[in-house]
Amino acid sequence: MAMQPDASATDPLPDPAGFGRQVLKGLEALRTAGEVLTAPTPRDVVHRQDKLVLYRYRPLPAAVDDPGSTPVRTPLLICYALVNRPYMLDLQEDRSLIRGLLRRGVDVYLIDWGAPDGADRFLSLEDYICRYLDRCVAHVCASHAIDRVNLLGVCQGGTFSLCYAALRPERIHNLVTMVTPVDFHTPDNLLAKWARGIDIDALVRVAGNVPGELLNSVFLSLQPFRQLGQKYVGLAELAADPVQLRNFLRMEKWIFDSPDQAGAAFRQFVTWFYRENRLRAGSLELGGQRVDLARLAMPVLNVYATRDHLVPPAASLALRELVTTEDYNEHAFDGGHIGIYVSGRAQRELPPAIAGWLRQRD
Amino acid sequence: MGAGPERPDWVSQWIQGQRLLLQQWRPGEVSALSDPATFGQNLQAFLASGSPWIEGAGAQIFDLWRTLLPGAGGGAPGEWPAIGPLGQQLGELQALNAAVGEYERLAAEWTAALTKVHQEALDLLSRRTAELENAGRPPRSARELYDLWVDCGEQVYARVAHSEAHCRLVADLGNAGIRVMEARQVLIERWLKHLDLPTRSEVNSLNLRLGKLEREVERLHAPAGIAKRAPGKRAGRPASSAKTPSDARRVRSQTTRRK
Repeated sequence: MAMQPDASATDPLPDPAGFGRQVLKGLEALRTAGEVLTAPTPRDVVHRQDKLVLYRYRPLPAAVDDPGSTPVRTPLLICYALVNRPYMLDLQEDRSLIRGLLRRGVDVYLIDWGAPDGADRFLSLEDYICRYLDRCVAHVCASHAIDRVNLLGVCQGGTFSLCYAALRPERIHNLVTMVTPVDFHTPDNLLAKWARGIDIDALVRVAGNVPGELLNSVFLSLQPFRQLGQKYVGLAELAADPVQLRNFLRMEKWIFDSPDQAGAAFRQFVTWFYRENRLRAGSLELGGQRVDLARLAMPVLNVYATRDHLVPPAASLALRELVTTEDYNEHAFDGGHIGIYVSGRAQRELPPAIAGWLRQRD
Repeated sequence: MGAGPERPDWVSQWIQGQRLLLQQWRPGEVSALSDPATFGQNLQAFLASGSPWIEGAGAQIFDLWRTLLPGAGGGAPGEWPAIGPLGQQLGELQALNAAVGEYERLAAEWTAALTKVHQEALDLLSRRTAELENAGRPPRSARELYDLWVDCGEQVYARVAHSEAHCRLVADLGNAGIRVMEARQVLIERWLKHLDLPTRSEVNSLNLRLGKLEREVERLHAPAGIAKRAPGKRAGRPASSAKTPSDARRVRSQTTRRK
């Protein structure tokens, strides 16, 4: 709903004409902002399979605040979610978890799942986890002549990583999960409540791949007043600052850059995780094997955001009771689901925490 | 309003302005085509309009039609029996029409629910601003009032969104939309077949066969990976120092504090 400035004598509102000039300046700034670039950190393509691309990032000079850190010998493979593009982890130079890890001596690989098209509609979770992810792990191991990698999973990618680590624990040295849902039936999980009544089989049957725009609208409707209104009201103010404006535009680009979801995998994820909570219940099977989180005996670092409205903390913290490792760790980040990657505090806090944790267990 | 200085005029006026906007905005109405009663009434009115053609050459046909119309409902196309050479196509159109009608009905219900959220948010905003000025801290700018309104809106919305009734409504609306897509797809497939163009069903069949072939080839050529096991067999636990969850175990926590 629009603001309705009042010009009465007792009105404490700023001069409406001045506000109008500010809006016009903002529109002009938007018009001339040009294309915003993302994913600035240099990287190389090292492996492809179907739509999947595996990147290896080039090393960076050590961080100013960590000049003497020794390299982490075991490479880190990052498994991102399917529902968004992974450049959130390397959004811009001063908002990049990947850059932070590189500057602290971590050898980083990133899986980009790509954008499914109609030919991918029958890709299943088994394809993603047991074929694609397994092949990436095998590639990294072969490249470094090692048996095990460090694996970092983000959100749904963290769920995939947990499944993979439970199926192939001998391939994982250390496991990091970030804002990863494990228990999909916590009381504050609105997405799970909405998902329970939807005829997902019919949706996938008729739509094939689930459109990214549909998922976007669902995510936005979790907090409609903030996401559809307040965010843009603030734009008039920050548009005067070109740096802030470009930061805003990068986030906007990422938010609405959502790939379609392969139909079969989406149906399985909603049914097996959101509806039936199989991972938590211990009844999930992939590739004919049971996914048993009790097999996670390697060190685990579970990073969660205390004000996450998409993956409530309780959904992540359920992991604590399911793994058997003696080296289970949690890191609470005071922020939200997106802030954990792009906020200034996240850049100062998380790369050193993760790199340090990996180095101690290298 | 509570005791203390009066609320600034502009705050009350803004809230009242939002209420007026909500009153002017009505939820969508169900379209006449999909509402049998409206269709029937329109048809009845047409037949009684005294048109020369209806009363002349077409009189016998329309007399018969008038006597066959079931009561005041009139009998919309959705209720005609789907028989004859074009019976299947008619049935498909009827299914689409019914699906659209159901979707529109639920969309109107959902819109009404959101309207109620807005109304309750304004009520909450009214109470909050009263509390603030009782505490000597009334909103001092339009932006402050707007942000407060957003907070109120999200609070009310969260309560409603989590309720079982609303979750059911959202699911019903989503499923109704899916049924519209399903009914539409049936028609599209029929037309594609008529035009001898590939249909989604055909492409899906080919896709499934190709995928099966691809996986088989990959399985035959792949090095040892996650082998597909026969159903019912379980992978053994790897040799490790893993203990049961009930055993004592260190859990190291690092917490961050807001600066």
